[in-house]
Amino acid sequence: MSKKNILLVDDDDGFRESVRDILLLEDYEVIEVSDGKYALPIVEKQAVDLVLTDILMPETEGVELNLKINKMKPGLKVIGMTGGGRMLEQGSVVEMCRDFSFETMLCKPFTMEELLATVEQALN
Amino acid sequence: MQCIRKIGKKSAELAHVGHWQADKQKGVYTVVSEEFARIHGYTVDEFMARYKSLEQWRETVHPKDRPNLFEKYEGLENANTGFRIFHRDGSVRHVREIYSPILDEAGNLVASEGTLQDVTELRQVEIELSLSENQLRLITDNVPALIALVDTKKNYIYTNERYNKFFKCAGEDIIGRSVREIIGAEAFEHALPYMEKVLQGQTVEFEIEIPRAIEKSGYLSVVYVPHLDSAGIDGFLVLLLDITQRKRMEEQLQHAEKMIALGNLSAGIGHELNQPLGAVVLKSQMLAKLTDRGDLEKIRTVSESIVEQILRAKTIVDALRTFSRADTNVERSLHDVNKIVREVAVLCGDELKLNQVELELALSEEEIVTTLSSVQMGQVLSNLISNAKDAVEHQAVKRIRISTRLDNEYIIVEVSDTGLGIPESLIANIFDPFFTTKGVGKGTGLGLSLSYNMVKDNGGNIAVASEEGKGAKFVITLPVKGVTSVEKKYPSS
Repeated sequence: MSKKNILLVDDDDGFRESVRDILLLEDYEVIEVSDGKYALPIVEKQAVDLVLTDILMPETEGVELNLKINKMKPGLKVIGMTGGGRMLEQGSVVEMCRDFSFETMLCKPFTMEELLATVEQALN
Repeated sequence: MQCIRKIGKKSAELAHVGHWQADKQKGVYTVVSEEFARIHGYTVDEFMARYKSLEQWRETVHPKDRPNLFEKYEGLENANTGFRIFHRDGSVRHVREIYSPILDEAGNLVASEGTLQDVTELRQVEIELSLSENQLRLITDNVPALIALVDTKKNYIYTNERYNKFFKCAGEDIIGRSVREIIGAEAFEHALPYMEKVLQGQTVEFEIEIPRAIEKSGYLSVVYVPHLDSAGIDGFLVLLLDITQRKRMEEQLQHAEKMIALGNLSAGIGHELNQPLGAVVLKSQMLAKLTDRGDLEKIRTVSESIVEQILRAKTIVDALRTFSRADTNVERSLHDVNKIVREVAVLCGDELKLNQVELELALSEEEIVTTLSSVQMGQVLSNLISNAKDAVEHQAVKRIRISTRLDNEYIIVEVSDTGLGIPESLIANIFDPFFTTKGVGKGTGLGLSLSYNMVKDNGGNIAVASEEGKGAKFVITLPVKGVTSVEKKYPSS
């Protein structure tokens, strides 16, 4: 079985790096970009199995990116990662997934186990 | 003689004054003038034919005025009486009569004479005048302001009811008394320079604490307007508004704003902190995996980056602490602002040199001393310098200029840079908490918001002037010692 390709989108270098390193350790292929606007051309041209994206980003935010991916590649699953704060009150994660058709939402800070379990489940 | 009589007659007509004489014993008019007859609506002949006796004439007097008038006709004294008569056309005329009894040698009333003036029109004017005066009274007494008119000697010419009530002089005659006596010596001394200005023809506005004898605490907004007559300024109009409530509400609003800012702050802090925390959790867990693999090199870089993320979290927490500290009482004492600027310049020196940024100081030659917290002022300045440093990062000319000067009662500190400036669309928001244009991890968006609060805490003001492409200039205005606030002269942006 060939390695799965995961597209990782986050403008926070430190955080993106930590997620990337764990996925690499688990033998996933990782393509990383720092904004939603860089993610779209990759989804269009490359074979991507799963997208992990931050929500608040300087230009193309996670929600907008997800809606565009849903149109472009309807079967491609998108997992959101959020730091909460003003954007997301506790308890609205489920709503946000439903309203913007995210596969699921990871709330920062999350553990390695949460990350890997979520990724595996989405890929199967 | 004839001529003089004619003039007398003419002026009597013009003044609507008629004349009559009567024989008391016969009870008839002996002479009536044209004007006298005209006042009743008749010619002399018509009048004499119509009123054959004095008794008949009495019918023309308004019934309500009869007793008083007729009593005077019985007396032996001169009388000046106002009463109403019915005109020939049925209308009521207001008249004034000067009545003189004529006595014989024995002192018996034999005849009488008098003048009668039609004052209907005059009375109308009087009524209208008193009406408009009443209306004016009504307005000035009920307008929710304290109003007074004061002469050049600072004595009252007029006060409205609220003014009297406020200064606890209700029912007293305040007219002619001195302003000093009514408002108290302390308030008077405070207001005196403004009174001098208004008497030079300038409208002045200021705020003043309510004298303690009047109320325990409170504020009045004061407006003085010069009052002019043909000879020049003869006094001034005083308009006082009790703004205690407004002040209290402003304080509450400020508190509410602080709470909102804190609410935004905690949400923002949560979001900001979750980034490094998230990274730390994952990186720490990864260390175990890397240990199993024996990848020592990677372990080293990961543990270093963990420290980096924790330090990042610390700066966020530090910023929060400063923000909440701005809320409590900070120690304030007399400081030379130039000295603070020099100290901050030293502290930031290395960092600026590393980034090849030139710092130019143009400080006033005289000492500029005021009461403030040197810690807060230092934080504000280092904040502005740090922002300016980032602004000039990619510029060919990297220069920051700090200048200080004294402008009357104010100390002006300007921090300008050679960066790209601030777009007009962002200027309104730059003092909001968590507003930042810097990349993630580079700015918390708290610096200017903290600076704003700290400058305000010290009774000053901070504003920004910027033209996109031409650099930004932050202007801090501080009151010199003894001036309470700079709010009026330099409104915030």
